[in-house]
Parts: sequence; C-alpha cells; structure tokens
Amino acid sequence: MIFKQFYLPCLAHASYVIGDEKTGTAAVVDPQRDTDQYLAFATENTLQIRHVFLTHLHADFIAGHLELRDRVGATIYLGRTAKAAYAFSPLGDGDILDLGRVRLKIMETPGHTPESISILVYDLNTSEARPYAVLTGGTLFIGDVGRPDLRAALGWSATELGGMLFDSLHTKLLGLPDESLVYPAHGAGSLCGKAISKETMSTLGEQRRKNYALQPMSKEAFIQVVTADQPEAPAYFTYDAVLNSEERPTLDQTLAREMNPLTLDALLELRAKGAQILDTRDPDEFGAAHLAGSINIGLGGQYATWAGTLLN
Amino acid sequence: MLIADPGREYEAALRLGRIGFDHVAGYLQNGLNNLVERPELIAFSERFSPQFAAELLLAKEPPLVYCAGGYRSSIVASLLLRRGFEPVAEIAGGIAAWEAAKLPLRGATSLGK
Repeated sequence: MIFKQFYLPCLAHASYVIGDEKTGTAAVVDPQRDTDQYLAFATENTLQIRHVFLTHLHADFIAGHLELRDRVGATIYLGRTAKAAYAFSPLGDGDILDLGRVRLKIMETPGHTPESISILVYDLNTSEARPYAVLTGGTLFIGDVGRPDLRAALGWSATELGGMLFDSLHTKLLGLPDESLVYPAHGAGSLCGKAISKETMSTLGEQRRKNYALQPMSKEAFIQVVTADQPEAPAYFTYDAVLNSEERPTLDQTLAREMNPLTLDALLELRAKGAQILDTRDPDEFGAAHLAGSINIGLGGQYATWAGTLLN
Repeated sequence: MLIADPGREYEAALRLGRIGFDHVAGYLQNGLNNLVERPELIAFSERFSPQFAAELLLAKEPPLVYCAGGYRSSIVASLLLRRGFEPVAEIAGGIAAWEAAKLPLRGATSLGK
C-alpha cells in the first residue's frame, strides 16, 4: 500500500494519495485545486489516478476534482446526499472500493456538513477487519471536530448539524479500534475549528482520550460546546462551498486568462472602473513604498485566507 | 490586479485560484519600478522599531497599528490608508518584536495562542 499525506500550511489543508503498487491504481482524497503534485507523485510511484474523493464540499478551498477528471479521467466520488452539477458516484455507508489489496470503505459521517463522509483504509495484506487508517475529512480533526455552523446560509442550522455530528462521532467513528490512524482534512490555522492541533495525524485512541469534543457529554452539551467561540467565518466560505458543487473553469484555464502583464496606466484605468489592487509583497517593503490605495496581503503569511476575507 | 515581487506573479494568482478567486485581471509589469517616475502615486506606512514605538506611545503620538508579528498589521494599515486615514504607523515585527526587546506589556504575560 502506498499512502501519502500532502499538507498545505497556508490553508492548513491535508490531502491524500492512496494506492496499490501491484495494480498501479490510486485514489486522491480532497485534492488541492493545483494538482501537479499528485500527478508527479503518481508518476514517481508508477500509479494511475483513477478515483478522486471529496469527503465533503469544502468551504475554505476549491478542490481539484474537476482538474483531475479532465487531466486523467478520474471518477469523482461524493457522499450520496451531496448535490452537484457535475457527474459523480454517490457513496453510502459500507460502500467499498478496492484498489487491489487496498480497500476503501465509506462511513457516512454528517455534521460538519450534511454530505460528509469518512473513508476507512484497509491494507488487506495486513487485516481485512481492522482499518489501517480513517480519513475523517471535516468530521474529526486532531484535537477538535468540524464546526457545524457553516451551512446556516444554505438552510442547515448549527443545532441540527451539531446533533448529526454527535451521532456520527459516537455511533460510528468512536466505534473504530484505538490503533486506527486518524488523518483529517484540516490542521491548525484552519477556520473550520477552534482548537485544532498542530499535529497532522493521530490515533483514534489518542483522540478518544484527549480531544475535548469527544469526552462523555450529552448531545445538548456537545452542541453548546462545539458552537461556542468559533472564529468568524469569512464570507468566501459560502461561495466556495457552492462552487465546489458546480462546473467551473479549471485552474489552468483560469490562470491562462489571468496572467496579463499590465502597464501602470492600464492598471490605473482599471482601478478607476473599480478593480482592486492587491500588493503581495512583504509588509516591510509595502510599508516603505506602495501604490497609493493598494491593499497589502503578503505571500509570506496566510495569504489566501486573508484575500478571501477582504477582497470582493 | 496584482503587484508582486518579480517572478512571483504566477504564485500570487495561483494561491488565489486555490480558494476560487478567479477574477485577476492581470499583474503590474515591472512591479514597483513603475513608481520611480510617479512619486505622487506613492504611499507608505511607517514601521517603527519597538523601542521607537515605545517612545511614541509615551509621547502619546498617533495610534499604532500592531499585531502578533507584523503581517496582519500591514493588512490593516493598508486598509486605513486606502480609506484616507493618515498618518499610519506600525510596530515592525509586532508584539513578538516588542517582547523580544523586553518592553513592558500589561495584562497577559505572554502571547498565549
């Protein structure tokens, strides 16, 4: 079995490539929209990416499912209650996809979002019964759980989703063996939780013991605790959650259209028509001199998150 | 529209694309070199050393914008300047630099989270 976690610190986002070296088949889970790294990894390891899973319709980034579909013909998989404009294979509790001697089994774990799934990974050469790992998407993080209050604008109350999250954790995920490795979609710095650890993996046993949200408490107490003190969610979250369910240009198409060198006068003309100017340089350089009226969001920090928050 | 260090324009557009911001019209060719001939278009924010900032505070000078490390204060400073607030000043390196310079803080004794 080949198992590789990719972690993007800027967005605190984890994605995965899982493959079987014998059959040369691989799946990608929650890919970034820029997919070169997955294709490079697949080539290096003699794998073909045939499947792309989204554990949920992400609010904080645009996934690369359409990019992988168009570049390598991968099939897209979502939880069966998801609604999307593109063709996808809906997956429900117990559904299995074998990559060879590597088995992926689906667990419906709604709560962070209604269509959330978790993916159990089995190395059949080791055990058919005990999973090697569980990819918990936005349901369970290291040290936290996925906040249930991000879908209010789309008609799902935090109370309702919070209740579903409680059930997903207690009737499903917590039933897994202690030694199961836990691999989430988000790490520290993500706005999808309030106390996410800097670790990017853990075990179920460790989470059972240490994760504040998994401690014994009533469903009502749980809902209170996971809806309290959440960081403010940027306006772009709802936009991204919807965009992940739609057809849209791929990243390559978009960048080709955007990379236009502009003269200063052309830029000033566009500004007069309302375009925003974003200066991406280091704050010290910006402070020393910048084009009057430009906003500074430096590439050296949480650039994407702040851009998503502040730009129209 | 993007202004970036030479060679980093693509990265700047790419990282916006990651969150679905697909409305970049272009980038300023040749970056800030354009402003050499157009000084009237230049603005700035003072980023003072912690020691100098401490003296300003004692003298009750114009408000300082600061954050933990100096990244976010620049975002806010730029927003204030764009809205016409002048002058704008920051602490270079933020509270981390202030603490490293052993200047006094009231309240929490460390930055915590």
